[in-house]
Amino acid sequence: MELNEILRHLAENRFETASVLLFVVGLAGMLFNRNLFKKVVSMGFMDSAIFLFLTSAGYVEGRIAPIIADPSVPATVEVYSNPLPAGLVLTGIVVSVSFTAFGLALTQRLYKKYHSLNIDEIMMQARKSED
Amino acid sequence: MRMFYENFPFFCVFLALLSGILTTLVRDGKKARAVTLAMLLCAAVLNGAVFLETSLRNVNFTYAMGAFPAPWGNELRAGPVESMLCTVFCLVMLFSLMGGGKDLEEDILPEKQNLYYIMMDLLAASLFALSYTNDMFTGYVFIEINTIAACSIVMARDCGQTILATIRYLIMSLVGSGVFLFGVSMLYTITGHLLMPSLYPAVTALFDNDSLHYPLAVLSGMMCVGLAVKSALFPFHTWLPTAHGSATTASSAVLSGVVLKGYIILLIKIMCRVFTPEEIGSLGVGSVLFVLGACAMIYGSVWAVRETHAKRMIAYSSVAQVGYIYLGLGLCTPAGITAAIFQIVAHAFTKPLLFIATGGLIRASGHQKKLYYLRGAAWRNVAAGLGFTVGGLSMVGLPLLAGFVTKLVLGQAALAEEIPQWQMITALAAIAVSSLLNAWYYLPVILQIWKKEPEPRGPEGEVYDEHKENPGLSFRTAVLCMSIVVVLLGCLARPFVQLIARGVALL
Amino acid sequence: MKKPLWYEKLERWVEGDSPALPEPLAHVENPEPVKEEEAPVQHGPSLLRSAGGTAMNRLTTAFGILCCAIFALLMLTTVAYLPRFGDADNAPENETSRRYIEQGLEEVGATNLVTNIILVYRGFDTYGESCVLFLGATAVIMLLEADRKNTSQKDRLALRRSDALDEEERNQILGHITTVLMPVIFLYGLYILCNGHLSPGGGFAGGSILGGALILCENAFGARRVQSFFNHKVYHIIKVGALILYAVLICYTIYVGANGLPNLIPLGTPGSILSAGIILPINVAVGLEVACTMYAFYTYFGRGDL
Repeated sequence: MELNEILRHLAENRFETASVLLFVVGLAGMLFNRNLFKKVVSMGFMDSAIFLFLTSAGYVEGRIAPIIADPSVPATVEVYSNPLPAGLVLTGIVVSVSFTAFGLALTQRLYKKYHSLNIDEIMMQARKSED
Repeated sequence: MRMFYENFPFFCVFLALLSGILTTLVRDGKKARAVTLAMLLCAAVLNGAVFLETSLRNVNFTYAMGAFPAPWGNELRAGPVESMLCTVFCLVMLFSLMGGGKDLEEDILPEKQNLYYIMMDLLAASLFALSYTNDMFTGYVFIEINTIAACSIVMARDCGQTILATIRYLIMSLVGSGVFLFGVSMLYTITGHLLMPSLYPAVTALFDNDSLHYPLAVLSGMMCVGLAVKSALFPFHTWLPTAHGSATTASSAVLSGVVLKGYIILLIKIMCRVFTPEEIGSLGVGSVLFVLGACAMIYGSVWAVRETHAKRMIAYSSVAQVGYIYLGLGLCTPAGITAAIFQIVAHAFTKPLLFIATGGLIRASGHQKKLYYLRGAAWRNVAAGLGFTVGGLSMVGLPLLAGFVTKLVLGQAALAEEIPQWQMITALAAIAVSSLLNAWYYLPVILQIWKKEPEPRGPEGEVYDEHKENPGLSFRTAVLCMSIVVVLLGCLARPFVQLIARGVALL
Repeated sequence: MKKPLWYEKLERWVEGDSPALPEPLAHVENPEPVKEEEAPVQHGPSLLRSAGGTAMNRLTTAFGILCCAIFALLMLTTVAYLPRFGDADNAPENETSRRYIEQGLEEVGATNLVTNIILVYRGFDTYGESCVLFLGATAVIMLLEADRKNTSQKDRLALRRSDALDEEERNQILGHITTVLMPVIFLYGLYILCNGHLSPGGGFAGGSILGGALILCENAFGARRVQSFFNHKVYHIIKVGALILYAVLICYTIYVGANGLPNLIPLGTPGSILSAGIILPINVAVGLEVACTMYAFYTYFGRGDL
């Protein structure tokens, strides 16, 4: 594909593009930020990016949320948008909440013990008191 | 009407989940332990039954989780390979918990021991689900269960070092599962499916369209890399040595022997059931896995040679052994995958054996973890010494032991006609060098632990009492059973490899 | 007689006496681990800078960020190949979503089609997800529940002192407003919980609102008040009871569905509150579990106990 064709596609898929960028920001933050708290926040970035990506996969122009207003009228795909991505995102959100709590709990314990959030510093102190 | 045994995979998953949940109400560590051991035994029997049925009939079956079949609802799929691996996992976890019991009681506070067993139960559940799943998103959910449980069994030995190791492990794992999930989402956007039986024709259709090879390569690469990060393939292995080296003995054994393998099985299923191995090879992902596997084999061994901390040395050896698995997968042929699965089974027994035996040796040496202080420890705990010797020799590749067969089968797979020459040469060279390095660091340790010291001394000059440490019956049983399996795998290699090869053809 | 050089080398290899090993007696280990009180509190320049290990760090970070940039480029070019955003004939609009939309109401019974998917079509996934939440809570308890390893006597005293201070000077405004708002919030949470099959919401959303209400209660009236009706025992019973109820329902559905047996749970009239078979009880169970977990996260972080 040519460059300007790629750019045009990227502009059309703007939500996917944004989610990719957010994902990479989160990834870089998780890997290279030395502050443990910021690492946990970056994890939230990464997960939200994936949710944005999934949600935009299920969007179709002009269709409404998949909740049937009147059960007597038969539902058709032309009216309601795809409910599957929404379900996946719901699952993903709960998983992400649990991991945030777990990561923060670990951070709190480390801070209590080493009085620092910087992972390099914690590693140095831990190496000193190694058994 | 389906056969009753086809319900067993579903029973196993829920048996493990429910026993974990009910263990919350058991505040006593001993009872929680009994529940977990009983659950693992039951699950081993159920999985073993599925294995017998499917391998005798040479069939596999899908099991819809509810009234809705393939493209709509969740599904499980079981065949000889999956059920065999699940049985192996149950047995390994059982032996690890039995062998590491004494360390567990010392390392974990009594009021929190039941929580440790909850984690073990859910770990087992997630391993069953990862092996049996036929659905990418179920795979993701159970990967996350596996991650939390695995991290928790590292941090259970509550000291600064393990918590630090846990958070590093957690972060790398989350990076891995994030990349994996993004790959799955992209696959969903392109194909509109999440279940493997519907993905397979969709992906095959996409392959006919040349312009879509690029996105397929990227997203299959993302899924493979995501799983590779979690199974500690070089260069994503940095979290492994500290996590496996500092955890309590049973955790190290379970993590090295079983947890790393759960992700690899999902990867194998993706390779065989969503794509085909040839497609993965033609996308170039196979070569990447192959090269990384070969690097891991050398790199892990080199670091293990330099290590003086007993458990960390074995952990680095795990990095190398995971490399063997990826080397086999990277060949992208059925023979390569068979070799990889054989290595999964062999390593699942050998590495926990080494960890448990080392735990016993360390206990017999006044809890000193440096290799230096383990001199003569085998005489203080003979069972552990024998276990370490068998495990170490198997790693080195002594004939008639499991490790030798791995190297043999891998070598044969690499020498097949369809393998390009550079892969053939690299694979053989990597196997040779890595075996040499394995011998370089395992043999001295084996000789040292059997060396009779006139007066074994610790760092403070204290003398270890020869008869102070009684390893206990469950430790001896666990070490003995795992040693026997390692020997059996080595002696009965041919029928076993044929069994796996038939199972791989069914995948 | 002098030993040949190769023999000495072999001996050294077997003995493992390389210089990397510590001398047996000269190696003095810290007899006991550093206690928390003694751990140095670093406020000024960090240890790192004095150690001079930053140059290498910066290099690896630069290399890593380069890798991330390459990764971003790869993914962006992939996005260019993806189907166009918002098109009606994209791949996800296939027979799967058609059945969910057109037959979901008739087959499963909830007018909220997303609920149909997460609780029935893909019910196993969602059970896995509530297990993740359960595991998350268990892991947090494992880490933060006060025990002799993570809490010193000093911490315990400080907690008791701040509790006493709170008892003395309760925030009057917060207390009064909470008294007024609490019934409304609870009612709203319950509404969302029980209408999960009819409107947006369900167990996870409603449960977090209930959990939020409990947290508000704790802030306004003090932990002791909340403990009087929500202690360890209640917490464990609700959590385990909810998960077991959920498991029983989902196992029944799976077993019956997979074996082709008739499902005896009636679906009811679509759109009424008592409809959609197992969805309503599952939503209640999930809601209770989520509420407990949310509150447990909050209080374990703050107090190390319920």
